[in-house]
Amino acid sequence: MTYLFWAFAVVWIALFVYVYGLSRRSRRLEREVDELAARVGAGAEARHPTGAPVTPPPVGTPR
Amino acid sequence: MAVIHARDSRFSDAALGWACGAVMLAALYGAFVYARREVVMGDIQRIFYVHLPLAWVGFVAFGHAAWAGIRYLQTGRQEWDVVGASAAEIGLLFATLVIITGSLWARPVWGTWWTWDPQLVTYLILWLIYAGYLVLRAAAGDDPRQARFAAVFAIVGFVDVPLVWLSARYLRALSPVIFTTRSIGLAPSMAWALLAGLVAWSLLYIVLVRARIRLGVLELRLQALIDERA
Repeated sequence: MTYLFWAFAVVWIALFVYVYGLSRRSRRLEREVDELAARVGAGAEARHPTGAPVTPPPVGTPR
Repeated sequence: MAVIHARDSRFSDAALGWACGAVMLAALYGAFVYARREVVMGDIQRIFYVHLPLAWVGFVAFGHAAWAGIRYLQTGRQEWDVVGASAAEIGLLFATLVIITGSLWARPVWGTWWTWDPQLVTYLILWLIYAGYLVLRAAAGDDPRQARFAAVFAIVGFVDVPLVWLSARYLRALSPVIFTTRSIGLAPSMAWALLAGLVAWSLLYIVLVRARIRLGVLELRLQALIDERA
Protein backbone atom coordinates (compact mmCIF):
# COMPACT_ATOMS: atom_id res chain seq x y z
CA MET A 1 0.00 0.00 0.00
CA THR A 2 2.96 2.33 0.60
CA TYR A 3 3.96 2.17 -3.07
CA LEU A 4 0.37 2.76 -4.17
CA PHE A 5 0.07 5.77 -1.89
CA TRP A 6 3.32 7.29 -3.12
CA ALA A 7 2.52 6.67 -6.78
CA PHE A 8 -0.69 8.71 -6.52
CA ALA A 9 0.81 11.25 -4.12
CA VAL A 10 3.77 12.00 -6.41
CA VAL A 11 1.47 12.49 -9.40
CA TRP A 12 -0.81 14.93 -7.59
CA ILE A 13 1.98 16.83 -5.86
CA ALA A 14 3.80 17.27 -9.20
CA LEU A 15 0.62 18.47 -10.87
CA PHE A 16 -0.17 20.96 -8.13
CA VAL A 17 3.36 22.34 -8.22
CA TYR A 18 3.19 22.68 -12.01
CA VAL A 19 -0.24 24.36 -11.98
CA TYR A 20 0.83 26.71 -9.16
CA GLY A 21 3.95 27.67 -11.13
CA LEU A 22 1.88 28.28 -14.28
CA SER A 23 -0.59 30.41 -12.38
CA ARG A 24 2.14 32.53 -10.77
CA ARG A 25 3.95 33.08 -14.07
CA SER A 26 0.67 33.93 -15.75
CA ARG A 27 -0.30 36.53 -13.12
CA ARG A 28 3.14 38.14 -13.27
CA LEU A 29 3.11 38.29 -17.08
CA GLU A 30 -0.40 39.74 -17.20
CA ARG A 31 0.67 42.47 -14.79
CA GLU A 32 3.79 43.24 -16.85
CA VAL A 33 1.82 43.31 -20.11
CA ASP A 34 -0.79 45.66 -18.60
CA GLU A 35 1.88 48.01 -17.23
CA LEU A 36 3.83 48.07 -20.46
CA ALA A 37 0.71 48.47 -22.61
CA ALA A 38 -0.32 51.44 -20.47
CA ARG A 39 3.14 53.00 -20.80
CA VAL A 40 3.26 52.45 -24.56
CA GLY A 41 -0.27 53.87 -24.88
CA ALA A 42 0.58 56.91 -22.74
CA GLY A 43 3.79 57.46 -24.68
CA ALA A 44 1.96 57.33 -28.01
CA GLU A 45 -0.69 59.82 -26.80
CA ALA A 46 1.84 62.27 -25.43
CA ARG A 47 3.92 62.39 -28.59
CA HIS A 48 3.33 63.85 -31.99
CA PRO A 49 4.32 61.58 -34.90
CA THR A 50 7.42 63.76 -35.28
CA GLY A 51 8.30 63.24 -31.63
CA ALA A 52 7.14 66.69 -30.47
CA PRO A 53 4.86 66.83 -27.43
CA VAL A 54 1.20 67.36 -28.25
CA THR A 55 -0.61 70.27 -26.61
CA PRO A 56 -4.11 69.23 -25.60
CA PRO A 57 -6.81 71.22 -27.49
CA PRO A 58 -8.63 73.86 -25.50
CA VAL A 59 -11.97 72.92 -24.06
CA GLY A 60 -14.80 73.60 -26.49
CA THR A 61 -12.69 73.22 -29.65
CA PRO A 62 -14.87 71.67 -32.37
CA ARG A 63 -13.69 68.25 -33.47
CA MET B 1 -6.48 27.60 -35.18
CA ALA B 2 -5.28 25.99 -31.99
CA VAL B 3 -3.86 29.14 -30.51
CA ILE B 4 -5.76 30.64 -27.62
CA HIS B 5 -5.53 34.37 -27.13
CA ALA B 6 -5.13 35.82 -23.68
CA ARG B 7 -8.23 36.76 -21.74
CA ASP B 8 -10.79 35.22 -24.05
CA SER B 9 -12.54 31.85 -23.79
CA ARG B 10 -12.60 32.11 -19.98
CA PHE B 11 -16.04 30.52 -19.89
CA SER B 12 -15.03 27.48 -21.93
CA ASP B 13 -11.94 27.10 -19.73
CA ALA B 14 -14.08 27.08 -16.59
CA ALA B 15 -16.54 24.59 -18.10
CA LEU B 16 -13.67 22.37 -19.21
CA GLY B 17 -12.11 22.59 -15.76
CA TRP B 18 -15.33 21.52 -14.06
CA ALA B 19 -15.88 18.67 -16.52
CA CYS B 20 -12.31 17.53 -15.98
CA GLY B 21 -12.74 17.64 -12.19
CA ALA B 22 -15.94 15.58 -12.35
CA VAL B 23 -14.46 12.93 -14.64
CA MET B 24 -11.28 12.84 -12.54
CA LEU B 25 -13.34 12.08 -9.42
CA ALA B 26 -15.09 9.29 -11.33
CA ALA B 27 -11.70 7.97 -12.46
CA LEU B 28 -10.40 7.92 -8.87
CA TYR B 29 -13.55 6.15 -7.72
CA GLY B 30 -13.08 3.66 -10.55
CA ALA B 31 -9.43 3.07 -9.66
CA PHE B 32 -9.87 2.62 -5.91
CA VAL B 33 -13.42 1.30 -5.48
CA TYR B 34 -15.11 0.16 -8.67
CA ALA B 35 -12.30 -1.83 -10.32
CA ARG B 36 -11.97 -5.26 -8.81
CA ARG B 37 -8.78 -6.26 -6.99
CA GLU B 38 -6.24 -7.95 -9.24
CA VAL B 39 -5.63 -11.53 -8.09
CA VAL B 40 -1.85 -11.84 -8.52
CA MET B 41 -0.52 -8.36 -7.71
CA GLY B 42 -3.25 -7.19 -5.34
CA ASP B 43 -3.90 -3.49 -4.69
CA ILE B 44 -0.54 -2.37 -6.08
CA GLN B 45 -1.96 -3.03 -9.56
CA ARG B 46 -4.21 0.03 -9.06
CA ILE B 47 -1.20 2.16 -10.02
CA PHE B 48 -2.05 0.98 -13.53
CA TYR B 49 -5.10 3.31 -13.60
CA VAL B 50 -2.87 6.36 -13.40
CA HIS B 51 0.27 4.95 -15.05
CA LEU B 52 -1.26 3.98 -18.40
CA PRO B 53 -3.41 7.14 -18.87
CA LEU B 54 -0.34 9.28 -18.11
CA ALA B 55 1.65 7.33 -20.72
CA TRP B 56 -1.17 7.74 -23.25
CA VAL B 57 -1.47 11.47 -22.67
CA GLY B 58 2.32 11.82 -22.83
CA PHE B 59 2.26 10.25 -26.31
CA VAL B 60 -0.59 12.54 -27.34
CA ALA B 61 1.35 15.56 -26.08
CA PHE B 62 4.49 14.60 -28.02
CA GLY B 63 2.33 14.04 -31.10
CA HIS B 64 0.83 17.48 -30.54
CA ALA B 65 4.33 19.00 -30.29
CA ALA B 66 5.38 17.26 -33.52
CA TRP B 67 2.22 18.46 -35.30
CA ALA B 68 2.85 22.01 -34.10
CA GLY B 69 6.42 21.68 -35.39
CA ILE B 70 5.14 20.70 -38.83
CA ARG B 71 2.70 23.61 -38.86
CA TYR B 72 5.45 26.01 -37.74
CA LEU B 73 7.73 24.89 -40.57
CA GLN B 74 4.83 25.31 -43.03
CA THR B 75 3.59 28.70 -41.87
CA GLY B 76 6.43 30.29 -39.87
CA ARG B 77 3.86 31.58 -37.35
CA GLN B 78 5.24 32.04 -33.84
CA GLU B 79 1.99 30.81 -32.32
CA TRP B 80 2.74 27.30 -33.53
CA ASP B 81 6.12 27.46 -31.83
CA VAL B 82 4.30 28.33 -28.60
CA VAL B 83 1.92 25.39 -29.08
CA GLY B 84 4.85 23.00 -29.67
CA ALA B 85 6.77 24.20 -26.62
CA SER B 86 3.64 23.97 -24.44
CA ALA B 87 2.77 20.45 -25.58
CA ALA B 88 6.36 19.23 -25.16
CA GLU B 89 6.63 20.70 -21.65
CA ILE B 90 3.45 18.99 -20.46
CA GLY B 91 4.36 15.79 -22.30
CA LEU B 92 7.69 15.73 -20.47
CA LEU B 93 5.96 16.28 -17.13
CA PHE B 94 3.64 13.34 -17.82
CA ALA B 95 6.48 11.17 -19.12
CA THR B 96 8.43 11.86 -15.91
CA LEU B 97 5.42 10.77 -13.88
CA VAL B 98 5.10 7.64 -16.01
CA ILE B 99 8.68 6.68 -15.15
CA ILE B 100 8.18 7.41 -11.43
CA THR B 101 4.87 5.54 -11.15
CA GLY B 102 6.32 2.69 -13.21
CA SER B 103 9.27 2.39 -10.82
CA LEU B 104 6.96 2.45 -7.81
CA TRP B 105 4.95 -0.34 -9.41
CA ALA B 106 7.99 -2.35 -10.55
CA ARG B 107 9.69 -2.38 -7.15
CA PRO B 108 7.16 -4.63 -5.34
CA VAL B 109 6.19 -6.61 -8.46
CA TRP B 110 9.50 -7.18 -10.29
CA GLY B 111 11.71 -6.65 -7.23
CA THR B 112 13.61 -3.76 -8.86
CA TRP B 113 13.12 -0.03 -9.44
CA TRP B 114 14.39 -0.24 -13.00
CA THR B 115 15.34 -2.85 -15.57
CA TRP B 116 16.89 -2.47 -19.02
CA ASP B 117 13.82 -3.84 -20.73
CA PRO B 118 13.37 -2.72 -24.41
CA GLN B 119 10.17 -0.82 -23.67
CA LEU B 120 11.66 0.97 -20.69
CA VAL B 121 14.81 1.85 -22.63
CA THR B 122 12.89 3.24 -25.63
CA TYR B 123 10.70 5.21 -23.21
CA LEU B 124 13.77 6.61 -21.44
CA ILE B 125 15.16 7.63 -24.84
CA LEU B 126 11.86 9.40 -25.57
CA TRP B 127 12.12 11.22 -22.23
CA LEU B 128 15.72 12.26 -22.99
CA ILE B 129 14.77 13.51 -26.48
CA TYR B 130 12.10 15.84 -25.15
CA ALA B 131 14.17 16.88 -22.14
CA GLY B 132 16.87 17.78 -24.71
CA TYR B 133 14.25 19.66 -26.72
CA LEU B 134 13.36 21.87 -23.75
CA VAL B 135 17.03 22.39 -22.81
CA LEU B 136 17.76 23.36 -26.42
CA ARG B 137 14.97 25.92 -26.37
CA ALA B 138 16.13 27.39 -23.07
CA ALA B 139 19.77 27.54 -24.20
CA ALA B 140 18.99 29.13 -27.58
CA GLY B 141 17.57 32.27 -25.93
CA ASP B 142 16.37 34.79 -28.53
CA ASP B 143 18.17 33.12 -31.41
CA PRO B 144 15.73 33.35 -34.35
CA ARG B 145 16.73 29.85 -35.48
CA GLN B 146 15.60 28.45 -32.12
CA ALA B 147 12.02 27.81 -33.19
CA ARG B 148 13.06 26.13 -36.43
CA PHE B 149 15.53 23.83 -34.62
CA ALA B 150 12.92 23.05 -31.99
CA ALA B 151 10.29 22.21 -34.59
CA VAL B 152 12.60 19.77 -36.37
CA PHE B 153 13.65 18.26 -33.01
CA ALA B 154 10.03 17.70 -31.98
CA ILE B 155 9.17 16.03 -35.29
CA VAL B 156 12.22 13.75 -35.26
CA GLY B 157 11.72 12.93 -31.57
CA PHE B 158 8.21 11.69 -32.20
CA VAL B 159 9.63 8.83 -34.28
CA ASP B 160 10.49 7.14 -30.95
CA VAL B 161 6.82 6.92 -29.91
CA PRO B 162 5.90 4.02 -32.23
CA LEU B 163 9.14 2.30 -31.18
CA VAL B 164 8.01 2.35 -27.53
CA TRP B 165 4.64 0.99 -28.57
CA LEU B 166 6.08 -1.74 -30.79
CA SER B 167 8.81 -2.78 -28.34
CA ALA B 168 6.14 -3.96 -25.88
CA ARG B 169 4.74 -6.28 -28.54
CA TYR B 170 7.70 -7.57 -30.46
CA LEU B 171 10.77 -7.34 -28.23
CA ARG B 172 9.83 -9.49 -25.23
CA ALA B 173 9.13 -6.57 -22.95
CA LEU B 174 8.14 -7.20 -19.33
CA SER B 175 5.13 -4.89 -19.42
CA PRO B 176 1.96 -6.81 -20.27
CA VAL B 177 0.17 -6.12 -23.57
CA ILE B 178 -3.34 -5.02 -22.64
CA PHE B 179 -4.83 -3.94 -25.94
CA THR B 180 -4.85 -6.29 -28.90
CA THR B 181 -6.83 -6.14 -32.12
CA ARG B 182 -9.17 -8.82 -30.75
CA SER B 183 -9.81 -7.83 -27.13
CA ILE B 184 -8.88 -5.85 -24.03
CA GLY B 185 -7.11 -8.10 -21.55
CA LEU B 186 -9.01 -6.72 -18.55
CA ALA B 187 -12.09 -7.57 -16.50
CA PRO B 188 -15.04 -5.25 -17.35
CA SER B 189 -14.76 -3.25 -14.10
CA MET B 190 -11.03 -2.72 -14.74
CA ALA B 191 -11.66 -1.70 -18.35
CA TRP B 192 -14.25 0.90 -17.26
CA ALA B 193 -11.92 2.29 -14.60
CA LEU B 194 -9.18 2.54 -17.19
CA LEU B 195 -11.49 4.24 -19.67
CA ALA B 196 -12.51 6.82 -17.05
CA GLY B 197 -8.83 7.44 -16.34
CA LEU B 198 -8.03 7.90 -20.03
CA VAL B 199 -10.84 10.43 -20.45
CA ALA B 200 -9.97 12.29 -17.23
CA TRP B 201 -6.26 12.61 -17.99
CA SER B 202 -6.95 13.56 -21.61
CA LEU B 203 -9.24 16.37 -20.40
CA LEU B 204 -6.61 17.46 -17.90
CA TYR B 205 -4.08 17.62 -20.73
CA ILE B 206 -6.42 19.92 -22.69
CA VAL B 207 -6.89 22.17 -19.64
CA LEU B 208 -3.14 22.34 -18.96
CA VAL B 209 -2.06 22.86 -22.55
CA ARG B 210 -4.58 25.69 -23.01
CA ALA B 211 -3.28 27.40 -19.87
CA ARG B 212 0.33 26.90 -20.99
CA ILE B 213 -0.37 28.21 -24.50
CA ARG B 214 -2.04 31.29 -23.00
CA LEU B 215 1.11 31.89 -20.98
CA GLY B 216 3.23 31.56 -24.14
CA VAL B 217 1.00 34.02 -25.99
CA LEU B 218 1.38 36.48 -23.11
CA GLU B 219 5.17 36.11 -23.38
CA LEU B 220 4.95 36.90 -27.11
CA ARG B 221 2.78 39.93 -26.37
CA LEU B 222 5.19 41.18 -23.73
CA GLN B 223 8.12 40.79 -26.12
CA ALA B 224 6.18 42.67 -28.83
CA LEU B 225 5.48 45.53 -26.41
CA ILE B 226 9.12 45.68 -25.33
CA ASP B 227 10.20 45.79 -29.00
CA GLU B 228 7.61 48.50 -29.71
CA ARG B 229 8.87 50.56 -26.79
CA ALA B 230 12.49 50.16 -27.84
